Amino acid sequence: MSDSPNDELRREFELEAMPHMSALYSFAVRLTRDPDDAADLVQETFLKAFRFFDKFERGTNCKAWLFRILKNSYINTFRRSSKAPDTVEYDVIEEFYETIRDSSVETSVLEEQVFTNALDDEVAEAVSSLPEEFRTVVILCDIEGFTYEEIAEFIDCPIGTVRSRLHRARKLLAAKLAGYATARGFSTGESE
Amino acid sequence: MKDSLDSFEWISEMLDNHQEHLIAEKVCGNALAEREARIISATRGVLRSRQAALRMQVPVSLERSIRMGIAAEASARRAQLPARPHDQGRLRRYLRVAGL
Repeated sequence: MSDSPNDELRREFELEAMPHMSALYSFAVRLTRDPDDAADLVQETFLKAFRFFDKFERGTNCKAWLFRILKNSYINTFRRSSKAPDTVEYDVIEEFYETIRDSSVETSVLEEQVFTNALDDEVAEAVSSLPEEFRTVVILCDIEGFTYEEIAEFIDCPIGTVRSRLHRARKLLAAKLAGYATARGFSTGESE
Repeated sequence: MKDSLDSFEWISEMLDNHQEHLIAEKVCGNALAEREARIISATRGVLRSRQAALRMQVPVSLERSIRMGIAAEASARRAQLPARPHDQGRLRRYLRVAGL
């Protein structure tokens, strides 16, 4: 018995879309900061994507298409219901960044050590602690490898905004990582 | 001060466009820009070298639930599809034999 068009669509979806589940889940966890919300978000994304898979333009970037659906679902469902918006003292963090940039880290060797000695958990925590608009661009660019153009399309803003958020996000991360290094007793000052 | 910091956005952009050599030329002689380039480059490097660690394993229960959801969706759609010609013939024969 031959397969129905529906079976073919399902098989194609499994080949094209399902391999991106891990990337979407990681992004969702970082975005929602809650594994249960992330699971709901990813499930909603895949079911929506399957429902509209016949509209997906074959030969285009399926991963990017899925990320776009996820981001829109997040905005429509999750962010609307979140109790409190992100509140981060940007100025305090930037001030801290300026401190490490201007004086504390004396040499490029020490700077490198601050970053290469960072623990995986610290890096993950630093990313999670970023305000949402910065967290999103840094994950999409540095972890998922999307281009500025693709990110601009996902988050529906000009490329210039992506560029400036990404640069700022990296500066905030640098400050965080230096903070962790100091807390661990790693000297970012004079020679060891 | 903030304006001068933000004016270094081009460092991130050049790093992402694999133009490190141009950064080196551009920051040469500007200690502030050199330091900014080093810090941004190191931070970016830390993230990119830990991509695998920063990605998370999909829980088995989630994957199973998505697959089941898609199967249910597909079967619901199949139920809405009009019967194929040979199915209609089979149904007609059944109705005839059953005397309906």
